[in-house]
Amino acid sequence: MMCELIMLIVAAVLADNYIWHKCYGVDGFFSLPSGIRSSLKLTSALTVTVGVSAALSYFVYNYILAPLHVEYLKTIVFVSLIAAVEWSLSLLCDRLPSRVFSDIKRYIPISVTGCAALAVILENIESGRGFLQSVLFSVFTAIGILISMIVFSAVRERIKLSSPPSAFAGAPIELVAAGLAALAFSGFYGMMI
Amino acid sequence: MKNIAMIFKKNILTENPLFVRLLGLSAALVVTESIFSAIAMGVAVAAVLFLSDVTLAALGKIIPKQTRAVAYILVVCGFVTAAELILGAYFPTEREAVGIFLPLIALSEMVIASVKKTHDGDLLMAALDGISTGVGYLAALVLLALIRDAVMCLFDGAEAFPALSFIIIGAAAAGASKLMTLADKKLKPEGKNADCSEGEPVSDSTDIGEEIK
Repeated sequence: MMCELIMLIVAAVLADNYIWHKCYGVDGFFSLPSGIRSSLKLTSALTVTVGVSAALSYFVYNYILAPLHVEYLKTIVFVSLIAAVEWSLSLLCDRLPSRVFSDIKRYIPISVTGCAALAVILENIESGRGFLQSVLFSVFTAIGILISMIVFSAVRERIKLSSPPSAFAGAPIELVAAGLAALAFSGFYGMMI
Repeated sequence: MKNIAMIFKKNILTENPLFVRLLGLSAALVVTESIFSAIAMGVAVAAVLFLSDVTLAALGKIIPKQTRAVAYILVVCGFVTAAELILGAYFPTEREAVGIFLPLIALSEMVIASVKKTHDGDLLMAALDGISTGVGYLAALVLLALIRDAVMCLFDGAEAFPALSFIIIGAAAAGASKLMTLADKKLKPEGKNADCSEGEPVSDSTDIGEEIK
């Protein structure tokens, strides 16, 4: 059991990284701000959103959708669930006094968060994970995204100082660098086999 | 008529959703492993974009401002579910290959940005915008799948890691920005050529960030 959980965590963080290997969170990843501080704020929003929606989705799927045999409604139900969770978290951040929370609030309704949350939920259902495994997998997936953001913000800093050909300036050279980073991360995939 | 051609040219060439605006990247990286799954994904995205744009534009004046987000979720997810079921029924192999990326369309920036434009209720414009963006994305996916296949044939036995797609999309985006600079040069008078040779590439990801905020 313990070994399985450790494998799940290593898979979520490194081998099946949501940016470099499975690519579910890439949509919008390149328009995110770089820097460790904003990465931390973004991933704290991401972790809470993904964790809470994964936990809720477990109950919604197993106690509402599956007994009623309406599994095909999962996309509508889970997207609504994620929207509701994002909305409630934004309201919660408004009520909390610290300025950090209002900074975090800005990062809740973005594409990376929504896509990662929906992908985690659907993947949990497809592989039939239990409650604890679902929540652990979702939280560590978010940590995996944090690691990729920190790695990539360093790459971006380096790109800023370089002078690529004019056609490659901006996003194209970042994509090529991302390809090399993905190649490096694919080394972790071998660890699992 | 000229207007229609302009919209198609804008959404397929000058502002291609994948190569220029970098939208829908996640699916493009993985789904393009085979040309059939790329076509299935592209057609599904085009159909969902077209149908949801038209529906939301038609309902635009009826839906109150406060419930727009809910209406958006219901309409887009409804069409995505329909696409999933149809694909699963008639093309099960492609449905398997497309996997989770199909439901992820509902939350992708491409659909959100396209649907946001339908608020003024102009049905024809919404339909044209939806179908042209979808066709642009489909064309980009097919092109990417072809290039990927060619590269795989060249390097026999190369693994289809997403790394390859990242690099190919990067090169294609660079090509698109180069073509754009050349086209700009042609349009502008001779004397101004020197100014735009160092012009900023069109594919700057920061404007997408502003769109979200």
